Amino acid sequence: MNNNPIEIRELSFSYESIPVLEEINLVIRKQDFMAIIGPNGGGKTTLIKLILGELEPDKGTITVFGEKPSKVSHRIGYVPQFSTFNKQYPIRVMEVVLSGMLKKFSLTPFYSHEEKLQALEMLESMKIQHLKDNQVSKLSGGQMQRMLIARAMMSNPEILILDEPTASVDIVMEQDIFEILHQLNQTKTIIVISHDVAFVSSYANKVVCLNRNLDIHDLKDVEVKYPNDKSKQTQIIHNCHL
Amino acid sequence: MNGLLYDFTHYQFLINAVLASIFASIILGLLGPLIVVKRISSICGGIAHSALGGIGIAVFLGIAPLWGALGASIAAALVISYTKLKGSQHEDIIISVIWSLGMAIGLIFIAMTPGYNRNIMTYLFGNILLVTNSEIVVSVVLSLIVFAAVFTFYRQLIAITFDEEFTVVRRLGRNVYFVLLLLMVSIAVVMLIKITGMILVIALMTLPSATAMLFVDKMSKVMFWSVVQSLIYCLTGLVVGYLLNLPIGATIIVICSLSYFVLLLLKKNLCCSGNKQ
Ligand SMILES: Nc1ncnc2c1ncn2[C@@H]1O[C@H](COP(=O)(O)OP(=O)(O)OP(=O)(O)O)[C@@H](O)[C@H]1O
Ligand SMILES: [Mg+2]
Repeated sequence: MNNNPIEIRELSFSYESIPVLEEINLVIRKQDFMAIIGPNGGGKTTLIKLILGELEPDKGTITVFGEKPSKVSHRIGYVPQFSTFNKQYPIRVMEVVLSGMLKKFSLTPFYSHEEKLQALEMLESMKIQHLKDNQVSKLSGGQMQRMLIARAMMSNPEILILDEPTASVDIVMEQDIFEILHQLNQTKTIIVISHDVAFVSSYANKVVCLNRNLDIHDLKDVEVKYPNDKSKQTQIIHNCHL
Repeated sequence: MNGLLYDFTHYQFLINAVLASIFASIILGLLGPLIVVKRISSICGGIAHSALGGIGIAVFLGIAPLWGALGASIAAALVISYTKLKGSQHEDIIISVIWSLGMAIGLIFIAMTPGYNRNIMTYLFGNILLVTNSEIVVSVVLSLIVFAAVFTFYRQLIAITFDEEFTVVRRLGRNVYFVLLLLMVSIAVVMLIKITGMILVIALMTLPSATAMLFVDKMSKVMFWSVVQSLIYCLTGLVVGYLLNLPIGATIIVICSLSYFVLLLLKKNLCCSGNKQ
């Protein structure tokens, strides 16, 4: 047994013989704040789906908490890139957030009072408590994102994975969301996909670039190599972004 | 008016028609909203039409048609669930095949059964005035089962109809609840065959929910108002059809559709005048 939350060894994956990921090796340690960057179609979302056990690797292994991903995916908080839900659904923000605590089986249709208090607290920490009775169709992109983060956090997961959480939000909101993630990182392992290298490099302790193959840039390594040369550091990250 | 009240309290076939409407409305109102938000009305259409296959075989073998319908629609629900959950590319085709194959098998077996040809209209378009006592008993039991299941697993059913991927990642039993939903749809279809017939069943499953969704923003309320509306449409359709000697299933559907359009217009106007202020 090992203590690393996620270990990926020599993983390859293709969609119907089109290779998307090749020979990926990656270890995510406890309390990492890892950013994944890379071009569109680079395989970022695919890698996340493999970590969640939604897809099976063609070759190599992934273990999450030392187990097969599909057995433990419920211990990961996940905020998808494209929310697949029906935006017109008659459901309110509060109920969506509460569903983060739902169990497979239960004998009542109601959430307990404690669960509701917990959800309110979560809404407050995401600064959307005033929206709790809004129908989901009446949220802006950024508010929706916050709601989804709140839902993902309700089960108090050890790992939080966010697939481009800041794609549809303005700069202020983006700063806000990264601050929230920074707070959460005190107790949780975080993986975030982003195209915003500037934000990523100031918050993450590891930056991974994914374009079929994978490069790790431990920011600390880069800093050791190029002390005081911020532009060189950013450049390395930028290069990988191509 | 008195005559009407007398009829509806003294003739067993009218009493049965009222009872059938009540229990069918409960099921319709609970399941319809889930079907509408999950956008699976074509799946429900497939399940409904497959029932004719079961009816044909049952008639041919001399079994009660109701059981044939139940068997066939459950089989269809399972096949469609399997295809859908496997993520097959051919889902659409499978649904259409089940839809038409079910009807084809039904027609063949009915044709092979001497003297049964005329009754086929009952199954296609329903005849609520022919509901028997034992069918009432069956619908009471079935609607209790559906009610209990929807009540108990309300939150899980909401979760899989709202965000399926989320329920997969959270391991909330997506497969179990999806199959459960389609099995309940099979039950609903069987209960509605006598009322609206399998061809009109989809309208009665979706229109009341779509109407309710215009006005309320919470699933439990949508369900409540769907039950209420279904009940109103079924009962008014029954009375109007009975008085004017019209086919009752069709009358129910016409009332239901009219109401949808009227309320849609009303809502549009209400919201526009609200904006002007
Ligand atoms: N379901 C699928 N079936 C077939 N090919 C797919 C599927 N999903 C993704 N792909 C392909 O796999 C490659 C990687 O896709 P992926 O979604 O992982 O990229 P990404 O890095 O998340 O990109 P983006 O930045 O645009 O979100 C792309 O070339 C895409 O066309
Ligand atoms: Mg992606």
